[in-house]
Amino acid sequence: MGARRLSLPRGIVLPVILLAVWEIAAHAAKSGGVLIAPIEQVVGSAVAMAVSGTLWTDTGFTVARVTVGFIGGAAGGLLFGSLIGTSRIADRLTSPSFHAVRQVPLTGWIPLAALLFGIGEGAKLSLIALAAFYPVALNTAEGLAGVPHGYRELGRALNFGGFTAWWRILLPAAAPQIFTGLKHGLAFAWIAAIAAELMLTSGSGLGTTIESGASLARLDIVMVGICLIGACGYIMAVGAERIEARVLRWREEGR
Amino acid sequence: MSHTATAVDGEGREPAVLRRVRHYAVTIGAGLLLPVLSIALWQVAAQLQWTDSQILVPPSVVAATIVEFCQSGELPLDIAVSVRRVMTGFAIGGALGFTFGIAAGLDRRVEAFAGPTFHVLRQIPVMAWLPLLVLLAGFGETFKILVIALAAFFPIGLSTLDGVKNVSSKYFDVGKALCFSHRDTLFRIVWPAALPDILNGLRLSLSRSWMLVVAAEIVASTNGIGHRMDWGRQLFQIDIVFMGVLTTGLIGLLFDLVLRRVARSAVAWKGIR
Amino acid sequence: MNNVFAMKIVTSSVRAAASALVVLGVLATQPVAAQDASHAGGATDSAAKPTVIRLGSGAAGPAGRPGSQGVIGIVYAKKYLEEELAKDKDPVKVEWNFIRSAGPGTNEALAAKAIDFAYYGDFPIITGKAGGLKIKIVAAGERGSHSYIIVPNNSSAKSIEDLKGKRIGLHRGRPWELAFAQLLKSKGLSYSDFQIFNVPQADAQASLASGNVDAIYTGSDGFAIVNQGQGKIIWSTRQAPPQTRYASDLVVTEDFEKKYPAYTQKVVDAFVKASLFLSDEKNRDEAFKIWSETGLPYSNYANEREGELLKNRNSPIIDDYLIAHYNLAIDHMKEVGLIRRGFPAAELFELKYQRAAIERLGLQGVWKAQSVTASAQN
Repeated sequence: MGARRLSLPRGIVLPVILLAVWEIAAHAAKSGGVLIAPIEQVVGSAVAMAVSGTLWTDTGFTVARVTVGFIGGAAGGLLFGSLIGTSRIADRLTSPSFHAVRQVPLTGWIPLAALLFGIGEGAKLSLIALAAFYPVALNTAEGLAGVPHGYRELGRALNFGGFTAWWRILLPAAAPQIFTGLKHGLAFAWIAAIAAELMLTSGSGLGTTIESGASLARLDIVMVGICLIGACGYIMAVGAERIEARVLRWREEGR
Repeated sequence: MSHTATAVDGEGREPAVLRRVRHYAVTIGAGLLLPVLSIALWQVAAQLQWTDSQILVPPSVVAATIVEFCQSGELPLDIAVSVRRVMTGFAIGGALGFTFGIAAGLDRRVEAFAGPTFHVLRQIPVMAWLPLLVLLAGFGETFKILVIALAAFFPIGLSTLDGVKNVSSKYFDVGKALCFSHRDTLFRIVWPAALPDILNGLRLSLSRSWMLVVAAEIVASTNGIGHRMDWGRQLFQIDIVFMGVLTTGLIGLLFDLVLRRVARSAVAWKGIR
Repeated sequence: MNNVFAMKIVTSSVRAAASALVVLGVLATQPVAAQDASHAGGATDSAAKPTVIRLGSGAAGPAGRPGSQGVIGIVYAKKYLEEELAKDKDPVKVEWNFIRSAGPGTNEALAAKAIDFAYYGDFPIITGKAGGLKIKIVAAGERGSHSYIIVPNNSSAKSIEDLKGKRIGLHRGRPWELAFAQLLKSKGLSYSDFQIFNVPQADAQASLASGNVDAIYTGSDGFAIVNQGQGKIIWSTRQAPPQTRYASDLVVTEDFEKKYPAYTQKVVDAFVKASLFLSDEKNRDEAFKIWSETGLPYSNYANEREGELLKNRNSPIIDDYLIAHYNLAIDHMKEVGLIRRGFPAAELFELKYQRAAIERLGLQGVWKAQSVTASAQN
């Protein structure tokens, strides 16, 4: 559900109109206040940043954070989701707390993360992992709970132990749902990474770039950052879809 | 078996009411076990100085702070302000997203024109727009409502779009066979079929809106629960931060429960849980 | 659902919970555990050596430029601390942390035990201590620092009263908030008479230029705005009593100080050397140049210290003036509700290190201990 076949000719019309409006507004708003940076300035800044290397370092840092945080959070989510998806008792005991904690918006955890981890990457990575954790856990649980009884029966008939049954029957059966969770988790991880970079401004990254650009009233830098975030997010989403398609291919073959 | 025979029921099994009460008691009891134990452990740990009481402020202190802020009226006011912002932004963004989803879902041309832009813009976390928007829209209510509307727009737009597109063409054929007008098609075919997806989108939108109202209030506000939490952070009063975390969590939970109730009754006729 | 099964769950859960609570209850009635009762190496073992000394101070300029303003910036640039530590056979490493949101961020770093020493302003030091941080001021850094109200060039406001009801950008928790609060008090105003937005220092200029706020209250970085022709100063602490001007001091965690008193002394020694450097008028230009290497304009510092003797600003002595300054600040902040509990300023200070440093370096007589009514202008 992330990437679509973008019908190029007609899909271009709207962006072109928007860009034209932007350009006109940028050149019209001359005196006083904050100037909207014209497109050529944005492009110019992008090139300058690419040449000086900051573009790559910033993107690299953010992507790295998202990756590391996502892997941590998704792993935890898979394990925890498996637990509550297979054990009713575990679900009963943890479910209310789990859902209650989930309701606290990510931005609310930022001060506490800063206090617990101080300066440095720990705070940001923990927030990203937390953001990825929930969708993965929820979808894994739902997926596992929805596995038809027949499959479990088969596992019992084949004398599969708990772990083998989980690994070879339950997980594959729940795979589509789990992948949905992973894709959502990735999207949330991106949001968390940007939020964390904006509010815990240490180290480099795309979020920090946007923040610095805004404080210098350099909206061209801000726009470069936003475009990069969009581009990277899009690429990662497409990548996730491709991986999902490959991994789940075996399901289609059976039909 | 004999310990259940408390009822007047002729068969010796307890009446449904008692069974339901017991069911609720077990559920609620089991659910509360973890939180209660955690809070107790936390309080003890803080008292015995196992943990740093500047960071993990003891629950007793947080409770006292909550009482203090409720008595002064500041907390209810902050909550009211934030909730009002969320509701307004959510209504606007949700309505726009819904309209987009229906239009693009039903009409291929709309999807062709607006779809690509939508899907690309959707990838940009709304948080990334904050620094730009605050410079352009200022520190007033407009900024905050705008941010929330933006946050609500995309999830609802996407799930409505998907929901509508997934309505099987067979249903449309039936509509045509029955000579349905556009209005009829919309309300009697599309709406019920897409409803579960739309409701899911609503839940996601609401939680995003809630997340962003906190962020927006941190960036540019003089009131609201997000502002209160930031105040606590800047002035190193972590009990206030915890108060904010608890409050936002509880309100978010309330919103979600309400929406889930609404969702459940709305699709009850479908037999989906 | 199977009733028997359900009952089993309920009873076992209840039993587990009850026993857990009993255990916790017993534990909770124990007296608070004694601190450091059996600390390895002993609390007063003067041979104890840390593996690394971690310092935290405010990052002034654009992201990525290392260095700080103030006395600590000189310590960093001239490597005084590394010199001191190099006298050891196996020198202790130094870790410098430049924190972006200097006051509040420093408190967070201290709470997270990520740093041992910090150099930051009186207001956040007080909020930190009131919030429970176990810190001690071991040397005075700078005092009499000025702060300003800045408005756009076309603003008609001439004083704080003119700004009633208007939007003011103030970076909450930073040192100059003290002066701001005291200004309001002196005019019989309160925070609720204005719309006060928490505008990070880095965003101040952009916020003023975009018209998001009607005025900014900030420290010497305000000169960047003025010198670029983007605003004008309508009030400064030069027009206010000296006690309203903020101070920045060197703070150590009680933990570190107890464990490594010898090394605390070394840090203070290095610090006092930097104070000495800063107190010599001949070094004025070099000092401003060092600070401007963090990315902020040279003129910020020149303008802020114009006409003032550096020696009076940079005395490391914790004297009556400073103690009175903090007492005043604590009282005022408690009164206005910026801190929830007050405390006597004496609790904040550990006097022996700066005294010893001045002795060891033979700097008696360089600085006068300032009395309560001192002013940085003489």
